[in-house]
Amino acid sequence: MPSDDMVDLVPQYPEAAVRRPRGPDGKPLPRELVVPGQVLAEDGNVKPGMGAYREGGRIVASTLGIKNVAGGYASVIPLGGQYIPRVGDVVIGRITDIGPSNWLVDINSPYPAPMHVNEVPWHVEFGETSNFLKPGDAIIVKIARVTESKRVQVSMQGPGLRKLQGGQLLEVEHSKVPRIIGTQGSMISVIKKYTGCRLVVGQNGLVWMDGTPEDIGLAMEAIGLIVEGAHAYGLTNKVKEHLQRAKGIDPVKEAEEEARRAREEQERRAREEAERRARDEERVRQDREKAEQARRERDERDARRREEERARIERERPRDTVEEEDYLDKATDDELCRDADPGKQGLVTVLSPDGESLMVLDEEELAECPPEKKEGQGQGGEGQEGRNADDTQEGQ
Amino acid sequence: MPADIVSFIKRDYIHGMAKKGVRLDGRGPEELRKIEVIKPFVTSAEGSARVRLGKTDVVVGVKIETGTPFADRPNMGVLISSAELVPLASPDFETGPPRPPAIELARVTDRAIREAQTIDLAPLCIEEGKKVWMVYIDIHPVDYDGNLFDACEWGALAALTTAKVPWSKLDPERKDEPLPINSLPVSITAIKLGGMILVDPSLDEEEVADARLTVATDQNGDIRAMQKGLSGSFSVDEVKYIVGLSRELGKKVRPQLAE
Amino acid sequence: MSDPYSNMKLVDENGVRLDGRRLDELRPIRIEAGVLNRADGSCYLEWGNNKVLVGVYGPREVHPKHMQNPLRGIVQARYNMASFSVSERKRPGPDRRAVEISKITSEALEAVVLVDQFPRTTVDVYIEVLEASAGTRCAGLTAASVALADAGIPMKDMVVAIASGKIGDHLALDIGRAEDNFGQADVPFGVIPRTGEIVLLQMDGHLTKEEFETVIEMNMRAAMQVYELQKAALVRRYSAFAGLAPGEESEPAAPAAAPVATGPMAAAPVAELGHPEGFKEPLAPPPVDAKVEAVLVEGEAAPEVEGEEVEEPNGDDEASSGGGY
Repeated sequence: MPSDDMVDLVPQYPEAAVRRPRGPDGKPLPRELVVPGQVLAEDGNVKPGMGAYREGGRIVASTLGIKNVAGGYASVIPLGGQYIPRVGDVVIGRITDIGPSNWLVDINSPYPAPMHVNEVPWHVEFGETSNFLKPGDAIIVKIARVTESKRVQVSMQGPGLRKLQGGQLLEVEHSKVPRIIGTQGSMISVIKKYTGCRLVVGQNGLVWMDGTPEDIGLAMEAIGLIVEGAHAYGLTNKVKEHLQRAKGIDPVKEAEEEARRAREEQERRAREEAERRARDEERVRQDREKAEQARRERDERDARRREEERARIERERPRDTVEEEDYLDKATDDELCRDADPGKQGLVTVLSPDGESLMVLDEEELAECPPEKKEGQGQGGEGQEGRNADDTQEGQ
Repeated sequence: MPADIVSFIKRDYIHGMAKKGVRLDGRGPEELRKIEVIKPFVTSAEGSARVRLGKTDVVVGVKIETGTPFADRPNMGVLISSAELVPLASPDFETGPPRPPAIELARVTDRAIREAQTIDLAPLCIEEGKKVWMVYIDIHPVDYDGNLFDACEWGALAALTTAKVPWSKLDPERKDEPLPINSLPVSITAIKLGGMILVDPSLDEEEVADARLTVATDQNGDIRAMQKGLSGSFSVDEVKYIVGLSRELGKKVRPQLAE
Repeated sequence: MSDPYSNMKLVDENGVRLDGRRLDELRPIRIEAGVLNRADGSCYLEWGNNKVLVGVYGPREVHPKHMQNPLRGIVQARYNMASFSVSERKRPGPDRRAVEISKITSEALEAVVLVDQFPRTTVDVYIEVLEASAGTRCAGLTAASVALADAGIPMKDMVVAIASGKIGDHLALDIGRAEDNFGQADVPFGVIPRTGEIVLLQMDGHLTKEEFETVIEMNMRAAMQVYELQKAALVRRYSAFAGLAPGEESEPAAPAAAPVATGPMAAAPVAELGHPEGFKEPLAPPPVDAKVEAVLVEGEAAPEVEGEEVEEPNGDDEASSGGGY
C-alpha cells in the first residue's frame, strides 16, 4: 500500500540542508536576507545556484531570499514566488479540464500541466477519460518533463502517486512546505498524531488532508501557525502544544508523560539488549560445545570405521604367501616351534602371532625345533625327543 | 483563516461546519470580523476614509465640486456614488469599465445613503437651477476578502463624516463647512449557507453561499435599504432575523464610523 | 480661477523651497512591503504627499492567449489614479496620460525582470495612486520594484525612480507639486542604482546640456538613498525569517530593529523615516543660465512650463467609463 509519507519527506530545497555556519559561541549565525541585485560573492570560482546569476566575476542575487553561499555555489533560498515546476517534484494537482485522451492538471503554477492517458496506471480507452478522473479531482503526480518554454507534463505512474479520495485541499506558499514537513518529518508527524488526519504535502504548496471536520479544522490551524511562523523558534513544540490543548491534553503533563515513557522505553530496550546479549552468548557457548561433541563423535566414528575396515580387509583378503614367507623368514626357529600345534598327529600347526594359522609343520620340520619348545606339546613330547636325537630312523 | 492560506475548501465541508455553527475562521454566526477605520486618509479629497473589515480593505474618497442640479430638483445638491473594482484587489477583477458587480455595489451603497437622507442636500444649493455642490463618493477596494458591500458602505459613511464643503473656493469670505449629515445608515450583510445564516461572510463563505442579503438600518432601528443577491432564497423568518441582526450590529458599528 | 502661485517664488533667497526643503533634499519617504493579502506581492509607498499602492500578480497565464510570448514572459504595468487622488475629481478609468505612463513603466520593469525564466506568462503590476502630489510615476515605479521583489519575481536588480528639475532658475532634487506645475524643467528618471543603468527617462522644459547633466547626477545620488529604503522595507517585512532558512528553526528572534507598522495607513506620521539627510556634500547652487537671468531682471515671470505631471485632468480624456452609477 503506497505510503502517505512518500510525498511528505521530499525536501524542497536540498541546498538548504547545508549545515548552518556557527559563530564562536556555537550558535548558528543569523542568515542574511538579500534583495535582487545584491552581490553574493566576488570570487570568480563561485558558481551561481538557484536565485542567482553571474555578472562578470560576481554572483548576484536575482530573487528576494536568504543568502546561501556554500560548496562552491552562491544561491538564494526564496521566501516566496510562484511554484515553478522542476522535473522529479512530487506535487498535488487538481483536474481542471478533460479531453478524450488527456486531462489538464492545475499544479498551482503559472503553467497548466497536461497528463496523457499513457501516464496513468490504468488502461484508458479513447474517450473514457472521465471514467477515471473528473474535473475537481485531486491527485498526487510527479513532474515528468519540463521543456525550455516551460511546457510541463505530469505523470501518475510511480510509487505513492494516486488519486486522492475525499478530503480537503489547502494551498500554502510553496516556500513554506519544508516548514510544514519539518526536519525529518518531525512537524508533520506531530500534526498527524494529534489530529488523526491523513496528510499529504505536495512540493507545490498544496496540502491534502482527510479526517473528521473538527480534526481537519485543527490541522488547518496548525498549518496556519506554521506559515505565519513569526515565532520560528521552537515552532514544532509550539504547534504540538496548540494541538494538545485543543485535544484537551495538558501540554506540561503530556510532556512529562512523554519523558517518562521515553525513559521507560529506554530502560526496556536496555534490558532487552542485555537479555539478548546473554542469550546470544549462551547460544554461542552451546554451539561450541555441540561442535566439540560432534567432532569427538566423528573422530571416534572415523577411528572405528577404520578399524572395521582394516579387519574386514584382513579377513577378506586372499592369503598372501609373501606375507607368510615374510613371517616364516622373519620368525626364528624358536618362534616357529612355539607356535606349532601338537594336536595334529605328525603335523604341527604353526600359528602367526595374531592367532591365525600359518602353516603346518610335519615331523621332520618339527624335529628341527629346539627341544624346550616341544614341552608344551603333550604326548608326543618325549617320544619326539628321542626321535630328534636320532634323526636317521626310517619310516617314521 | 490564518494568513497566507488560500483554500480550495469544498462547499460541503463549509456547509457541514456551518450546520454545526462553526465557521472556518472560528467566528460565531453573528460575529463580525475586526474593524479598522482610519479617517481622513488622503488630503486630495474633501473627505476620505479607509476601512478594513478582516482582510477586506477599502479606500473611499469624497470629492465635492460644483455642477448643475437635476431639472426636477433645482435647489438640491447632487449625490453620485461609484465603485472601481480595480484588479489590484483580486485576481478575479479585470481592467475595463465597471461590470455588473461593481455597478451593483455602487448602487446598493448609494441607496442606503440616499434613502436615509444621510446628507442634507438642500444646504448644498449654490444658485437655484444653475449651480449646486455635487458630492461624489468614489469607492476603491484595494484588497478583497469577502463582504465588499459592508466594507464599502461603511467606508462611504466614514468618509462623509470627514468631508468639508469647500465654500472658500467659491467665496474667499466663506469658510469650509462640514457636510451636513443627518443619519448614519449602517448596512449589515449576511449569507445563507447550509441552512445557516452567517453575518459578514469571508471570501470562502461567499463563494459557496446560496443567498445573500444586505440590510441597512439607521440609528432608530428603521430600515433604509435592502438588497438580496445570489440565486438562492430566504424565508420570511430568515429575513426578519437578518433585519434584527442589522439593527443590533448596526448599533455597534455606527460609533466606530462616526467618531 | 485666479492662480495663487503666479507671483510665488518657488525658491527664496536662502535656497529654501515652498515646502521648506533645501534644493538637494528629498521629500520624506515611507515604504512598506507585503501589505495586501490577495496580491502575490505588494508595496505601499508614501513620498511627500503621494500615496501609492502597488500590487503584483504573477507570473500567471496570459489572457488572451494570442498575447503570449513563447520565448519569454511579459510585464504589464497599469498605472491608475483614483478619482479622489487629485484636487479636481478625475473620472474613473485610464486617460491618455495614464496609458503613456503605464507603457513606460512596463518597459522600465522589463529591463530588470528576468522574463526569460517564465515564457508564456505575464507579470501584472497594478499601480494605484490614492493621493497625487507630483512625481507619481516615479513613486509608482519605485514601489513596483519593491512589490515585484515581494512577489518573489526574479529580477536582475531593483529600480528606483525620481524626478529632479529646474525651479525658479535653480536645479532642484525631487520636484514637488507647485514646482512641477510652475517650474522650468522636469526630468523623471528611473535607474538601477547599483549599476547606473537608466531604464526610464523623460524630460520636459528647458535645460542646457550642463544643467541636464547636473540633474542626472542629482537623481543618481538620491536614487542610492531611496534604494536603501526599499531594501529596509523588504527586510522589515521578512524580519521574522531573516534569521533562518525555510525548514529550519532559529534561536529566539531578536526584536525587529524597526517596528513593523500594522498597516500602511496607520496614523503614524507620514515622515516615519524622517527627512533624509540630503547629500553628504551639499551641492553649490549651480550657475544660473545667462538667458534666464536676463529674463528675470526684466521682471517677467519665469516662463511657464507645461509640466508632464499635471494632476488635473487635461481634457483629452478618452475614457468612456463613467464610473458606476
